[in-house]
Amino acid sequence: MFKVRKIAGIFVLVALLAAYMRSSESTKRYVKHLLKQVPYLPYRYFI
Amino acid sequence: MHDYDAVVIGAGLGGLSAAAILAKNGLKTLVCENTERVGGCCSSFEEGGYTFDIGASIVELAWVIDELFEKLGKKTSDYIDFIPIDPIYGFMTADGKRFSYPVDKDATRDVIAKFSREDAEAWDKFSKQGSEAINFAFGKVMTKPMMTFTDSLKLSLENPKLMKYLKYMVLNFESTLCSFFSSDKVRASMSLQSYFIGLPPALCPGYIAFLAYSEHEGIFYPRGGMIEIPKGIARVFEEYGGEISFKTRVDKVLVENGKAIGVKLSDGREIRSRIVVSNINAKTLYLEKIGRENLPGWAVKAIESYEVSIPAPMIMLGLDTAPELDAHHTFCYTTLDEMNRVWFEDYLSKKIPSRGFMLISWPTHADPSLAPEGHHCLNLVTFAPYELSEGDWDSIKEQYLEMQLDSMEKMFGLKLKDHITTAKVSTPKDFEKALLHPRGAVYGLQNDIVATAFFRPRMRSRAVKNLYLTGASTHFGGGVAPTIGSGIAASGLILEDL
Repeated sequence: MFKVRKIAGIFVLVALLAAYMRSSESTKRYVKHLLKQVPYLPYRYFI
Repeated sequence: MHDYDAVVIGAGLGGLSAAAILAKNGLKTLVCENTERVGGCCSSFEEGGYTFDIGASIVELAWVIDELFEKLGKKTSDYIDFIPIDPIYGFMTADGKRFSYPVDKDATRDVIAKFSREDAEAWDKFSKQGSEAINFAFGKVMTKPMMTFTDSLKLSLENPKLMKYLKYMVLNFESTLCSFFSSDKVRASMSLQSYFIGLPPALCPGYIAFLAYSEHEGIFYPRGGMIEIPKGIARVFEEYGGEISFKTRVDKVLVENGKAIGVKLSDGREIRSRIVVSNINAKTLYLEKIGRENLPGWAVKAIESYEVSIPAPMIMLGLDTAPELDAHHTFCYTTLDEMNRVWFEDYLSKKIPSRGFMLISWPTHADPSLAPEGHHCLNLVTFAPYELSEGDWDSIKEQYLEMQLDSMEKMFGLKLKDHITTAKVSTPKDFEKALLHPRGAVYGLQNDIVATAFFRPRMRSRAVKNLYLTGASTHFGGGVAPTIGSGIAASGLILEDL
């Protein structure tokens, strides 16, 4: 079961990465801008 | 012993709206205002016989104001005289061409058809989705608290139609517009709205693109200047026994055992209250007025993590003649790429944008009484960084004025210099000092999707009990209607809690 999950996880990551690589410069900037803030979301959720 | 049931910090639209509802419900309420006038960013001042607006220059989604007055048991028209504005925007292009978008959707379609037949058809689709998004989605969320994931989920389950707009939370503004329109001219003519929440089209969330439609539901200017909106709300507040104390600076929010118990003023006085409502920027509130020492570590991390929006230095001009413009708002036409470039190359490098990128507001077009007879007022809303790579704002005020006027004359043929009777420049530093906006960010905290809804500072603070937030720092964000909406939503929570 763990192995299946691991493979599925890797597949999703590869798919996301591929989608990112194929996206426009504008989308890449947007994604980077949002990802930069992701580590703070748990704190933001509670403030 | 409490002096008041509620003390509100700041007489901006959110604070006044909440205060008026609380007063109507019998709560003894005091509003402490740092300046000598109401309204915060939605205000006006008089100089040399001209009435200039400080920030906000138009009202859209006016139903939110009607909802407020209804809650107050009053009629909006008894307090504010709104003048309908048409056309919505005039555009000045660098090749000397002018065009404008009227309020009427079909007439706008005809204007778009001159650029692209395909985009004229796309406008119909955009309008249809825009109408749903504005009237349904915005209508459902703007005046309701959105503090938890459960709040959002509940709202989505009750209104499954909202799910349709989720993709515009994921797409950016630019991609959303490009998914509808193919002509660069049409795309650019609907892109400035991203800067209304202080972000370029590449970083702004997609749902904001529908603001370009919302204006076609009707835009208005209050007779007497933008200050007439907060003045109208303040009148109702005072009719219900509320008190406003001007030139009253709150230095600290008093916190005891994790609870807000009142405020300390700059003259040393302490006012005790059952609850405290903040209408100031959340960063200023938490980091300065409450202080790190009164906050848990996670709260400090959270509040420090928010970025503020791009400052919008304003140039106010008194003219001895009517300017050669066609509409209340004129956009000095800038392409979508250029709008992004301004952010990524100029703003982030602390440089003043080298070309005229601005919105011109002409309030005397709607209300001639704002200037002496035959004279006019113009507000030039520009975008520039808070810190400059060369010089500082105080020393470049004159230079900045000259630069913007030259740019308008050279690029768009708009000659104003010979007709100026009075001129004033409000820099990011001025906004910071007068309105307590950190880094002069008049649009408040950046409003991207990771700082929206339940990721935006909550209306009912979790870090400090008995503390409530209204205004641009909390849900739904900046703007006349959203901040009034925040006042409605926050007052609802307070009445539930007390």
